[in-house]
Amino acid sequence: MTFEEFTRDMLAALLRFAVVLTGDRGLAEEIVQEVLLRVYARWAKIGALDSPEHYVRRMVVNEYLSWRRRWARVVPHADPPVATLVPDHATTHAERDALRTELDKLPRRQRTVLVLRYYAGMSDVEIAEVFGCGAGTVRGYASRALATLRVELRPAPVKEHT
Amino acid sequence: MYTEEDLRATLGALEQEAPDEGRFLAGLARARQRRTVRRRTAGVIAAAMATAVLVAGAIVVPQLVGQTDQVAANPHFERWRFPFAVEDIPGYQVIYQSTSSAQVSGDTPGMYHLEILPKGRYDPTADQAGEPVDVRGKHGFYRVDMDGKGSMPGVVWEYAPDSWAEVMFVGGTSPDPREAVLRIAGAVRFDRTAPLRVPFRVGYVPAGLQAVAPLDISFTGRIGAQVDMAGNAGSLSISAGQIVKVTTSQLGQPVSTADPVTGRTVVEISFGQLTMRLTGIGISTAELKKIARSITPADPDDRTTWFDADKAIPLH
Repeated sequence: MTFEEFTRDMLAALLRFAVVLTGDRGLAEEIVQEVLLRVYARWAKIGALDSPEHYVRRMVVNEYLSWRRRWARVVPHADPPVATLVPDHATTHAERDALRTELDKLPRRQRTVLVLRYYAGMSDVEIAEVFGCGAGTVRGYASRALATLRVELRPAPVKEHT
Repeated sequence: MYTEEDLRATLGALEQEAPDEGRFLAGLARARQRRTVRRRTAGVIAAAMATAVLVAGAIVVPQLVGQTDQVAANPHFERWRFPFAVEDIPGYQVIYQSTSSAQVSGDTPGMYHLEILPKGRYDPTADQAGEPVDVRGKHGFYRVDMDGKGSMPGVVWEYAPDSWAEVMFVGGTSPDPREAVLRIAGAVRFDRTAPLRVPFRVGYVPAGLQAVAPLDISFTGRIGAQVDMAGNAGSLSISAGQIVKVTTSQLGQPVSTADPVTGRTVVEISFGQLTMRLTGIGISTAELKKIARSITPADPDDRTTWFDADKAIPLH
């Protein structure tokens, strides 16, 4: 697979993942661009991996976690609209907006854990591999984030003993 | 209280805000090119700095200017104007322009990317296999596959002896890409220049600095502009951009940090919607802050408040 083929096949998914991860279209674009520039430079090695898409997604996560007010250029961006009270506004959307606002306030690692668990569908063990830490640490990030967001966990199914 | 399903739904809804692939691909292509040029420029500056130390005051700027893609030798660049203009095209809109490229969007998904190829650097051999076309009386070639790998239709034409430009359609669908790229190419005028205005004015820069790279500006959505200078005493890069989150205590006050990658000092000064960033080699933090304090911001959302580039940046 060439770099161009990889980009053609994976770009849409990478951009979607990045915007969910960051909650910021401009930042998502910058991060994916930065990552792809590095992937391009090292494509001979990355392209030979069994699953380059997983490796690149991991690069996106690491780039997000290490992002230090990098300078943004040539990236169209808009502030998220300020929520206003509209009497007939659909409650679902209002709650989702409120939850998103709370998500944006989370520390990056906590947010990343939630995105990987609830959007990417990764297990805590898989997330731990991305973070380079133990699964217990991941669960710690998740529980703190969920507590901050006031997300109620569904009770674990009760095992029946016969 | 929320549920896990609320969380999944909220994250899932964010997908809708993913950037447009076509515009992203065009930006990626430009970034790849810019990174190559920047790396070369940085190398030249670093080498020139070393030379400056060795020869203690030798004039290195002409060497720099001569080696940076012939950009500074371009008289239009010296006058801080875009060296070409894109005429109005019904149904299309120029959304980005630098001194060597532009992007045009139409009604359909995707982006048309115009690139003015550096003089003498383009080898037309591969593209001559394409369909011969006429662009404003100049010969060119249309190809359905400009990159030779994917499906990027485009046209390349010789607008002046040994000077070529190309328009490519990237990342989208177009009912008639041939017609579109030829139409856009035909709207590119090299007999006209376009004024270059920036949303800031710098009152002070150290003596002896010359521009060594084209002023690059984007004015779609978030503003971005950058000017790179170098001289005997060092090099200086000033960039402007819009950021979302600025703490009030920082407004109008230069703040210095260290770049996490290079370790170099970075001075930023925020004016609300506009933030300026300054970095340099051989220029002290105090000097960078002095430059930062001399900056007058314009309203990035109101182009009438912007400054002509040739007056906004004092070059000696």
